Amino acid sequence: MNSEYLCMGIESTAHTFGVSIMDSEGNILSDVKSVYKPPAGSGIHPREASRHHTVTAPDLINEAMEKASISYSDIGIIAYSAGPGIGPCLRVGATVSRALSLRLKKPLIPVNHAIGHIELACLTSGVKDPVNLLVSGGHTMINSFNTGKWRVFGETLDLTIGQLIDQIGRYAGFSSPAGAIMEELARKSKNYLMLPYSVKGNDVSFSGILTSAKKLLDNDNKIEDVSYSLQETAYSMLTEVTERALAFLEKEEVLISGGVAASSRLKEMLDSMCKERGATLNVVPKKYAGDCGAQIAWTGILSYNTGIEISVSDSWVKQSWRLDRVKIKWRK
Amino acid sequence: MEKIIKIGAEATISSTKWFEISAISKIRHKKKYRPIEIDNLIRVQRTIKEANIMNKTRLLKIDVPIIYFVDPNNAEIIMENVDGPRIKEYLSNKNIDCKGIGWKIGHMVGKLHKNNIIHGDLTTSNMIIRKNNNICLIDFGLANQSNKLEDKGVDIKLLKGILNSAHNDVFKIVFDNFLAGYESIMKNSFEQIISIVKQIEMRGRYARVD
Repeated sequence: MNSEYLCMGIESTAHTFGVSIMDSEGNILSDVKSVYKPPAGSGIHPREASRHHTVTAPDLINEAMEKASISYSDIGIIAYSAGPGIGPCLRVGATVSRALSLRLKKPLIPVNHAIGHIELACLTSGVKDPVNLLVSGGHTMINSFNTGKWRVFGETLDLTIGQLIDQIGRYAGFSSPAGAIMEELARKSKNYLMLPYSVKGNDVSFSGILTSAKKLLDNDNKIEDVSYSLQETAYSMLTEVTERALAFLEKEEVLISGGVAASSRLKEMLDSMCKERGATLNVVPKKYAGDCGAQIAWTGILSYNTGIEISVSDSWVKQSWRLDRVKIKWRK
Repeated sequence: MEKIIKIGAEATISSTKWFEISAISKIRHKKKYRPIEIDNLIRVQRTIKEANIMNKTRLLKIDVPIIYFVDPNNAEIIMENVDGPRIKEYLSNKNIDCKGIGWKIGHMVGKLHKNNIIHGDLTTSNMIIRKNNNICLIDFGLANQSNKLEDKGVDIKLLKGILNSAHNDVFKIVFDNFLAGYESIMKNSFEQIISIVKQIEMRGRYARVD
């Protein structure tokens, strides 16, 4: 690729339908999204979420085009989130992208959503070779790039951190995602209630915290105290395993990516850990922490530059597509 | 006199003297990021457990550093200074005996598991090769005692993950020989534990295990 081109990235793995226009230099011209909100107390319903995406897609695409002030003929490539995610949701994004690719006669690029989180976080924070903590509703993983792939150096053995927070949030009657409200409540308490702390090597397990926190709520403990204790315990575990990976890999940069990167308490803990070790902490900007089109657009550009594209007839979505399966040709 | 050798993830390792012998001191310092309730519990419990399980492991004739002194209140252990490269460094050299090293690790972990000791942090940075080619196992901070196959499976899954992620070029040969060494000790329960390792890997997010 010699000259600059534009990429439209379409994100549709779970609750968010997002569209972004980026140029091949890494400038984000527009990034718009709509998030499906389930009723209070319940989680994402795949059918309802995909319906939300179908209904909002046309307007969001137009809005992204208008905000970037470009016309359809300016678009060079179309990137879509091909997995991992919820099947019906993935298929909406893929269908929209295939239609655009055929209509505009432009290359179609499948993108791994998790790689998207990491690469956009690297771009926006300027970090080069980080130990990455990917924390969201779908992932809780520690990654570092090594011999051609984003390798997994630690992960959850059961629930993700986002699931843990959302499930306790829903149990307390809030709607998902419940991270913001839980953090707000946690700030009002300093009363630590004991919860199971489970670190296994570089891995964590959250299922014990979920059971115990539910019991604490059943026994009429204040939601503020439970939120505080849950957050302190779970984030301490995440900070510890990140430090373990950092010490093992002997690296000096930490990156937080994914939706839970928006948590200020998690940032505070990791920052304290990094300062004591003399490492630097980099965080994806709040705006690009959650699922968004830009993560797909940017990774689409990196992929296309290294020869990845797919014909519409061969294109696919995969609900299970682990990030350490993806060959990364753009990093050394 | 005391000189910091390494700042690990949870402890600081310094060189020191125990009477006239050269030794190392491992101190788990307070971590500011976590609440004091969690911090105290982790530092004291892990120090006691580490010393306790290291002694038990030593009785199995597995090579671990000799413990000289334990101070739970200060979360400190003074122990033998083991000299040599870690497996992590060894595996990044050329022309090495991947087969032999894999088998030895497997044999060692087999002996641990057969006696219901779970190391809890089987990474390649926690094994030191001595001058006599023995592998010395260190860092028992996350160790515990359990006869559950699940716990043994988690131990192996961790080592497999580290070999695959950090030593991908020699992963297959080292891990295949690890399994052979492990099987030589575990015999009848080997197949069962390996199938549990697969189950644990499948619980990983979006995992497909070959």
